[in-house]
Amino acid sequence: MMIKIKETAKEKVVAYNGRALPLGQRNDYPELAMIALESNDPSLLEVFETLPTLEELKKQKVEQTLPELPELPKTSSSNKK
Amino acid sequence: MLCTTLRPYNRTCGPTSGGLARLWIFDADDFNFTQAAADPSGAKPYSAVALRPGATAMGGARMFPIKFEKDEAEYTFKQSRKGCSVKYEHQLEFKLADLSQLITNWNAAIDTAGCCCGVGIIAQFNSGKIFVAGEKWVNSAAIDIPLEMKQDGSSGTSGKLKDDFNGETVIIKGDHVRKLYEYSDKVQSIIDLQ
Repeated sequence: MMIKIKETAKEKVVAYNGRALPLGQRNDYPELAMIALESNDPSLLEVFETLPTLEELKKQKVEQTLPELPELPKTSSSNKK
Repeated sequence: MLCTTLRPYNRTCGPTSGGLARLWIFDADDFNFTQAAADPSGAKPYSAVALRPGATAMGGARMFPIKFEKDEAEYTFKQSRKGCSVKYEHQLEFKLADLSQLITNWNAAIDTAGCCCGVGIIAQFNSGKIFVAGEKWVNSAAIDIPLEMKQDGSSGTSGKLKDDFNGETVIIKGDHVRKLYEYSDKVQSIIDLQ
C-alpha cells in the first residue's frame, strides 16, 4: 500500500497519534491518512501525494492487529475415537 | 423514535477523577481541528489539530500553558432553555499565584483577545479526557456557531497574612449552543505544540 507525503508538506506540523512533529520527521502516515479520509479535511488530504482508500487502510490495520496463530500439530484420522 | 432519536448513556464501568490537570490558551484563528463525520452515535471528538496557513510557531502560534495553583482549577457549565432555545454557559476558574508584572501582562493579552476574537482553551481533566473550548476552525472551514471565551469576573488579592493567598482567581467564560467537544488524541501532541 503506497502512502506518500508531498515534498511541500514535509515541514507541516500536525498533532495526531500522540505527537506533533513536522511530517517529514514521521512515518505514521497510515494513521494520518485514516484521519484525513474519515474527516474529509482538505488541509490533511492535500498533504498526500498518493493515498489508499479508507477500506484498504482499515483492512491493513486489522491484519496488523490480528495475532499470528501458532501452527497446530497435524492430527491423523486414526487418532479419532 | 417516532418524534426524535434518543441515545443510551452506557458508560463502561470504572473509576474517574475530578479536577483539571493541565490548561492551555491559544489564538483560535491559529489552529484547525480535524473531526470525523458524525455517525449514528453522534458527533465525533477532534482527532487532530494543526496550524492554519500563515500561522507559524515562530510567529507566536502556539499552545500557551497556564501554570495554575495545584488543585485550584475547575471547569463548570450550566444548561438552560427558553422554549426551544438552549444555552450552555461554560466557565473555567483557576488560581494564578503571585501578583506581578507577569500576571498584569498576561491579563492585558487575554483581555485584548477577549475583545477582538475570543480565547481558545484546551483543558485536560484529571480523568485524562481533553476538552476544547473556543475553537473557530474545524476541517479547514469556519465553525458554524463559534464559542467566544472571554475573561469576565476575575478577582485578585494580596492577602493580609503571610500565609494568605496572594494572586488572581481567573474566570474565563462563554455561552454556546452545545457542550464542549473532546480531543481524542494523547496529551503529548498538545504539549508538542507549546
